Amino acid sequence: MQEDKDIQYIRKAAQQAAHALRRSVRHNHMTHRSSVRKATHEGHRIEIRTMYEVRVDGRRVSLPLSVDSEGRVTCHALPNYSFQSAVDLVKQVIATYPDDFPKGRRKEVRGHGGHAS
Amino acid sequence: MAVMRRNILNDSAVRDAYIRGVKLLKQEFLTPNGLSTYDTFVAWHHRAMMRFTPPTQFRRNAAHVGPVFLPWHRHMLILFERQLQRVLGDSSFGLPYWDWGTDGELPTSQQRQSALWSPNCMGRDGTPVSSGPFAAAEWQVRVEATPSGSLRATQRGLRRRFDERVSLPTREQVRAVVAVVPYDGSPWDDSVQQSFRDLLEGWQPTPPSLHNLVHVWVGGDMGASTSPNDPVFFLNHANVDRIWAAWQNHNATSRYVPVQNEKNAPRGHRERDPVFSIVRPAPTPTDLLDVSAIYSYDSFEGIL
Repeated sequence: MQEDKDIQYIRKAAQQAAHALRRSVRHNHMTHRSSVRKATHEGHRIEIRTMYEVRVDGRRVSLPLSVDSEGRVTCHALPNYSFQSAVDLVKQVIATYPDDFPKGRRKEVRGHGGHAS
Repeated sequence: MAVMRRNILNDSAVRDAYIRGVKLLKQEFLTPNGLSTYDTFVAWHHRAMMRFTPPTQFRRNAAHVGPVFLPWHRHMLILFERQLQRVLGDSSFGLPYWDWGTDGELPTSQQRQSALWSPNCMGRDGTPVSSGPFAAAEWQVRVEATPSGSLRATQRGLRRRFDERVSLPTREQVRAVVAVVPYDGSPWDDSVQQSFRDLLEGWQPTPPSLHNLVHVWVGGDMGASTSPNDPVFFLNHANVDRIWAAWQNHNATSRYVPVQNEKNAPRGHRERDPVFSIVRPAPTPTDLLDVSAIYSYDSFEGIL
C-alpha cells in the first residue's frame, strides 16, 4: 500500500524535524542580508544595496527583510505578505509572533523621540 | 480508483471525516519529543519555504514565488490525503475544499459569519481559538516558525486573527485569473508580468490577492511559514488546486513551464526537476499534471 510506504518516509522526516528543533535552540538567528536592486538609466548602471536593522523596544530583531525593484518590502517571516512600508511589515510581525514581543517587556528608549506610527 | 474532492460546506460527512482525520494524524506521534504525522507536514512546509531556489537569492523557494508553487502543493495535498485515508480506514475519502470565492461574494463584515467558521466545522477566530474542534483544549500547536526563520518547539493553542481590513477574493477575480495564459514566465518569480501562477499565488496585481489573501484574511498561524498548523490551510490549498485544475481544463493547449531546457529557469522549478519532498521518489511537475487517476473535483462552479 502506498500509504504505508509514505508513512515510513514521513517518520524519517519527523526525525529530521525533531533534530531541527533541537538545533534551533542553539542557532536561532539568521544572518542579516542586503537586497541589491539593479537598473540601467541613460547608459548608467545603478546598483542599490539595502540592509535593514530592525529594533523593537530597543532590542535588535533578526528579521531578514528584502526590498524588490518596485519597492515592495517582504520577509519570509510573513510569506504571504508584501508591504510598501517596512514599518507596516514590522507591525504585522509583532501581531503574528506575539510570543517574541511580549507585552510588558517594553524597554524604555530615551532621547529618540518615540517610535514610528 | 480516483476519489472525489467536495466542497466542505456541502457535505457534512466529508466535513466530519476531515476533522476526525486531521485529529488522528495530530495524535499519531512519530518521535520521542512528541512530533506527530500532522506536525511533520507543518515542518515540511516550513523547510520548503526556507530552501531558496537558487540559494543566491532570498525570495523564490522550493514551494513558493515560482512555477513549482502549484505542483508542490498538489504533491503535498496528495500525500496528506493518502494519510487521511489511512487513519480513517477509508480509501474513498477525498480532501474537501473551501470555496472562498463564494464567501468573497458576501459583504466584508459578513464573511466571518460563513458556515466554515461554525462550531461544527473549523470554529471561530481567537488567540487562541476557543471554540469548535480546534479549540486549545483539543488542538495544540507543537512546531512554529520564529521571525528569523528557524523552526522551534512550542505547546500552545491555535491562533486565528480574522483581518477585516481585507476582503476575501471574489468569484469574478477567480474567473479573471483562470482566463490568463501562459502558466508562468521569466523571471519566474513575483515580478513576472503575465502569469497564471503568479496571479493565483497572489502577488499580482495588488498583493495580497487570491491564495495569499486567504492566508492574510484568516491571519494568526496562517500568516507564518508554519501555516499548515491551521487545518484551514489544506482547505484553502485544495481550492487553489481546484482552480488550477479548472485552468488546465479550460486552457488545454497551455502547458506547464519552464520546460527543462529553458535558459535561466531556476532549478527545482523546471518541468522534470524533482520537487522538494519527504518521500522517494519525489515527483516532478510533469508527473503532477494529470491527476485524474488519483482524484477529481465535484464542481468547477464559480470558476469557469
